[in-house]
Amino acid sequence: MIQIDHLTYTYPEAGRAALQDVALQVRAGEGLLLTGASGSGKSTLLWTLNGLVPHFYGGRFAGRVQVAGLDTRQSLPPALAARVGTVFQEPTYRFITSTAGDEIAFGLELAGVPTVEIRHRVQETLERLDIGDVRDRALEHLSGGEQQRVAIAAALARRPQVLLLDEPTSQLDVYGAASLIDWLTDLRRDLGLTTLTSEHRLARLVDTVDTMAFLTPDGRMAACGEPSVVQRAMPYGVAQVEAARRLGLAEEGGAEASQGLRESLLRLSQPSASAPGGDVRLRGLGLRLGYNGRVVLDGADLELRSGEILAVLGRNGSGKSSLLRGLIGLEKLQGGEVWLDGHRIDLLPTVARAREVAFVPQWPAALLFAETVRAELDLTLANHGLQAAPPIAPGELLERLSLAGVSGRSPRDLSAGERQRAALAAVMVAGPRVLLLDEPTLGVDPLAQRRLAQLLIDWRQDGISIVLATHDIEFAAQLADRVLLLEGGAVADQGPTAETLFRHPELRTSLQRLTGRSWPATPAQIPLAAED
Amino acid sequence: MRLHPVTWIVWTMAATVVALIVRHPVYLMTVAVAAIAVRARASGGRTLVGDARLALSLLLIPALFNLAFSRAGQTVLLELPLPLVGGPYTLEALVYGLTAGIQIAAMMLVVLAMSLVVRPTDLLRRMPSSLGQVGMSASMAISFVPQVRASFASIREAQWIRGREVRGVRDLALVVHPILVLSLERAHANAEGLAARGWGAPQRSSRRRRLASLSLFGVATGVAWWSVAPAARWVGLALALACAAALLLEWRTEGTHARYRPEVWRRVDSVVTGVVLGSLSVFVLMMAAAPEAITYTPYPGIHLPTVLLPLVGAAACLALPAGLPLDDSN
Repeated sequence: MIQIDHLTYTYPEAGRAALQDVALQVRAGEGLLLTGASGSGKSTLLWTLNGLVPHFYGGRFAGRVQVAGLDTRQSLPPALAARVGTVFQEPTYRFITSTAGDEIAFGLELAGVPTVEIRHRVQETLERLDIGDVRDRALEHLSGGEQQRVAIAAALARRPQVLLLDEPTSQLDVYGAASLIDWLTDLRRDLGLTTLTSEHRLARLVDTVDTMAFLTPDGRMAACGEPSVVQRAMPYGVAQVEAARRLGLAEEGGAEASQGLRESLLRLSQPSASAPGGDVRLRGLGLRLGYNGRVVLDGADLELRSGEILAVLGRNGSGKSSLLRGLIGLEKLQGGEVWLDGHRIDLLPTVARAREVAFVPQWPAALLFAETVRAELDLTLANHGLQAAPPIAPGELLERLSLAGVSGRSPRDLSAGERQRAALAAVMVAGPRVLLLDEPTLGVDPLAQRRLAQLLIDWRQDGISIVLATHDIEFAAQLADRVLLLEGGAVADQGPTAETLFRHPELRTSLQRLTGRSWPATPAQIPLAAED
Repeated sequence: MRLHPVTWIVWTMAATVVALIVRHPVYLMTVAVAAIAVRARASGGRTLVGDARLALSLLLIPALFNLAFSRAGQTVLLELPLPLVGGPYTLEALVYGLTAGIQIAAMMLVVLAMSLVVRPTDLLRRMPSSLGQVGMSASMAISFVPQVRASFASIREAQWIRGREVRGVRDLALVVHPILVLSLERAHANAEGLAARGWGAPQRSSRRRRLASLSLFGVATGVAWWSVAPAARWVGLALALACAAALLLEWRTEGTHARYRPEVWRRVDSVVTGVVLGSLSVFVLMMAAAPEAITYTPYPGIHLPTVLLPLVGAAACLALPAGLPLDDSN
C-alpha cells in the first residue's frame, strides 16, 4: 500500500533535513505507529503521504513515495485526498465548516459527489462510526473527543484506503484517549484500513498496532518492526519496559516477559515513606465558580504544603483548569477564599498574585511574546520592578532549564519542550513560592517530560510548592506527593499518590494494573538493579 | 434575516462600493448606520455597543489627525504664537477629517457585517477551483477578525500572568505583535487542513488556472486605473468589466458543485439583491453624472452640505436586510 524509498526532505530555509534517507513499507490493512522526539520528523513523514510535503510546504525533496498506486511527485494533494485521509493534531484549527454534518460532507462536495449521494454518505459515515447524534451540532460546542471523532469521520467519508493520524490523543484525557483508541482499532479492522499514527503516548496504542517505527531526532528511521522489538531500541518506553530495564531483566516482549516482570515486582518490598512537605502554604476554601449558569467549581477545597507536589486529576470538564485559574485570579470566584502563607489573596488582581503564584497555562506559547528567550525573563522582572535585584539570576535559571544555548533565539523557533521551559523560566524568574501547571505534558515528548520532571523535583527540593493539573496518570504517579481527584467541580477523593490512584481502577498506573498492588506505581520507585 | 450567501456577497460589494465613491458625511453616515443595524440584527443586539464605540474611535482619529496637521481653511479655531505646533487649527480641517473618518468607519462596518453573516466556507465554495489559492486567502481574511478577538483575550491573560496590566497605547505593541503571529499561525493551520482535504486544482498548472488568475488581475488593474487616472476612466472600467465577464464565464463553465445542504434562493433574496443593486446604481450614476452632489468639501470656507433626501433614501435601502423578519427555519 505504501512504499517509501530513500526519502530525504528539507523544509524551505531549514538548515538540516527533517527526514534523512527514510525507507518504509506498509502493507494494506496494516497499523503502523510512528514515534520519536518532537522535531524528529514524525508529522513530516505523515505529510509526505498526503502530498502536503512537498506540494504545500515546498522545500527540497529527494527519493520516492508511493501511496495506493500514486507517486506523490506526480500526484498533487487534491488527487491524493481521494485515497489518503488526514487527521491533524488540533482539529479545532482545521475545521472548515461549522457543523459536524457539513464537515463530513466537505470532502465529498469537493470531490463532486451528487447531493443525494452526499447525504447518504454523511448519514452512513455517522452511523457506521457510531459517533452519536452530532450531525447538526456546532463543532465548537463538541467535546475534544467528539471533535476528534468528527475529524476522523470527515477524513473517512471519501472512503480512503489510508488514514493518517497526527497525535490523535494528545488533547484528550485518559478516558477520552482510551475510548478513542479502542474505537479506532475496531474501525481499522472493520474497514481494512491502513493507518499510520504518530504519537508520544504509547501506553495503550502499542498493543493495538502491527508495526512500530522509531525516528531519531535527526530524522532517520532507527528501527521499524515488531513493537516490542522496536521499544528496546528506544531511549524511552512504556512503563513496563522501563521497569524491566531498572530491574535488569532481559528486555523481551510477550506474555512470558510481563509475567516475569510481575513476579519480580511483587518480590520488591515497599520502603517506608515519610510524607514530604512543611507548613500549609496555599489554601483554597470552598471555591465556587460558574459561567453561563453552569457550575464549574462547587465548593472545592485545596491544601498545598511548602515543598510539595500536588496532582489535580479528573475528567475533562471536572474543573481542573478552572481551579488553577481561580487560584491565580483569571476566573473570578463566586465564593470561597484563597490564602497564601496566612494572607488572603482572592481579592487581589492576577497581576498582584503573579509575583508569588506562578502559572503556566495549557498552551505555554501564549505566555511568550518577547523577541528572545532572555528578553522574556527581563520582561517579567521589569513588570514586577525586580530588574535591579532579581530573586534568581536569569543566566543561572536558563542554565538550569537547559536553555542557555537558545537564550538569544526567538521563543517561536523553539521545540515544544523548550518552549514550555522558556515559559517556566519567564514566570519562575520572579522567585514565586507556588507554581501552578496546567496539563504540562500535553504535546511534549517523553524526553522533554523527563527533563520537566527533574526540574519539578529540584524545585520541590528548594521548597517551592507545585500544583499539576493533569490527565497523565503516569506523570502524576511519578512526581506527585499527593493526589486530589475532582468530580463535577468538587473534591471526590484525595490522599497519598499511589494509594489514591489504586483506589480508582480507571486511574491505576500500568504497573499497578500489572501487579494488582498500589506499590510500585511508577518505574522510578523501583530501586536500580546492582550492575554486575 | 436568513439570506442566501450570494445575496450577502452582493450586499457587501454594493455597500463597500457606495462607501468608497461617496464623499459626503450624511450619506456615509447612513451607510454606516445601515451596517451597524445589519450587524445588530444578526447578532441579536450584542454588537451594538461595541460597534458604536468602534465607529466613534475610527471617526475621531482622522478628525484629530487632520486638525493637527492640515493648515488649510478659513475658520480659525485656535492659533498659538508657537513655531510648528502653533496652528492655525481650522474648523474646515476638523470637518474634513471627520468626513474621512465616517468613510473609514462605514467601510469597516460593512466588512465586519459580512464576517458575521457569511461563513468562510460560503466564499470558499463559490470560488472556481482554478482560483483555489485566492479562495484560500479570502477565507483566511474573513476568519481573521474572530480569530484576532480570541487571540486578544488569551494574550491579555498572558500579560496578567506575567505581572502586567495592559493599558494605554504604549502597551499596545505588546499585544499587537503576538496577536499577528498567533492569527497567522491559525490561518496557516486552516490552509493546511484545506489542502489535505483536497482543496485546489488537481493539476499542477492548467491553462484555465492561468486564464482565471489573469482575469482577476485584469479586474484589479481596471479598478485601479479607473480610480487613479481620471482622464481615461472608461478604459479602466471597460477592462474591469471585460475581465469580470471572463471570470464569470469561467465560473459558469466549471459547473456548480453538488452541495450537502444546498442553499435555497428565495424571493426575499431576489428582492434584497434588487434593492441593493438599485441603491448601488443610483450612486454610480450620480458619480458619472453629478459627482459634486455626492462629494462634500468643507474647504475653503465651512458651509452646510447640501442633502438630497432621495439619496439618503437610496443609502438607507442598504439597511433592508436588518428589517427582515427573523426566521431561522430553512
